Amino acid sequence: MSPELDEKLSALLDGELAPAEAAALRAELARSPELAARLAALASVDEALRGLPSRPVPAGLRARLAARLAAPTPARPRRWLAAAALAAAAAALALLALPRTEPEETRVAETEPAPAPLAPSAPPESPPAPVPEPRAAEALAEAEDLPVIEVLDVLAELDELEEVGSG
Amino acid sequence: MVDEDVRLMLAFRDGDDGAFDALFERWAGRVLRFLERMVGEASVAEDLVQETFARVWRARARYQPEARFSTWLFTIAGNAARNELRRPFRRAPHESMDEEAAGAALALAADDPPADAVVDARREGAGLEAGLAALPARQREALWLRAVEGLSYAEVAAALATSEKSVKALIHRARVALARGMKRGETR
Repeated sequence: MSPELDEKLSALLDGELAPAEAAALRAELARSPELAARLAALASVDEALRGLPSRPVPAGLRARLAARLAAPTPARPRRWLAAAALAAAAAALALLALPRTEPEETRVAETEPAPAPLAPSAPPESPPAPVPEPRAAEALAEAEDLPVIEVLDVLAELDELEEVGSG
Repeated sequence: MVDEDVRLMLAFRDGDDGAFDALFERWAGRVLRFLERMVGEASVAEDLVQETFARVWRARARYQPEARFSTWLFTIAGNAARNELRRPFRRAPHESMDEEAAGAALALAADDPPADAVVDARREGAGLEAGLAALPARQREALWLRAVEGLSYAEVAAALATSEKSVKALIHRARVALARGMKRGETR
């Protein structure tokens, strides 16, 4: 059976075939027991899905929703909070990307034409290797964690707006 | 004729909070059933039911009855489920359900002799739940909305923000996979 024909069986089940196409397929089904068996197998999936058990809505759910709706709405503030969190993360990353803050003399040595090296053994372009400060690393970890969640919230909000726009 | 849900939603939009209660009564069970299959964990699904209805509450002023209410509601619920599924550090979706379903199937297979109709039905249900849980999320969502909630391809396409053509393919692939699983279950 061709994949196209197989997919048409699904479309027939779903009432999504044009009338002429549906009639042609029904005629073919009448001729082919194999095709009819295939259709029956696909149809039995839907029937089984509709027969799956469902449990009652827990009694407290409506009350919990009411409490949630009564709480100060997080929807709008979250947006600027997310923006702020993103800005903070960007700032933290920018700080880490900048050259490490060094003691005064070192910085001078970096920004001004280097004086003739006193110790020829030192490689010319070797300021002390930056060592991440524990504090900054923590800040980065926090910054990386926080906005991801908030960004998802923003996405959720955008989804919602789209729904409203299209629904 | 305006359908009852649209009428209720419009009443709610215009300030009748009782209409919101009526909508919750009418739909919370179906939304819960849908979300349980989408995310696999009962407690998460309950939370998402709240999230879905909280969004309906917040969006009431902007509600326009351009689509069936159910399409709009399941679009919101589907988005909530998808957001949940793409959260970082989330437990693998359906982990618990897979285990439960597999466990139930094993337990049922173990006490083989009393194979009456009820046991058969339960075994089939457990196998089907496991098969459903193993489907790619979009296939699962598309088939559920079509087969159980009766949305048309156009409505499913709107809910999944995709084309009718891809909905057709998603639904068919899901059906084929589940039909294969059911056949295996019969011959076992």
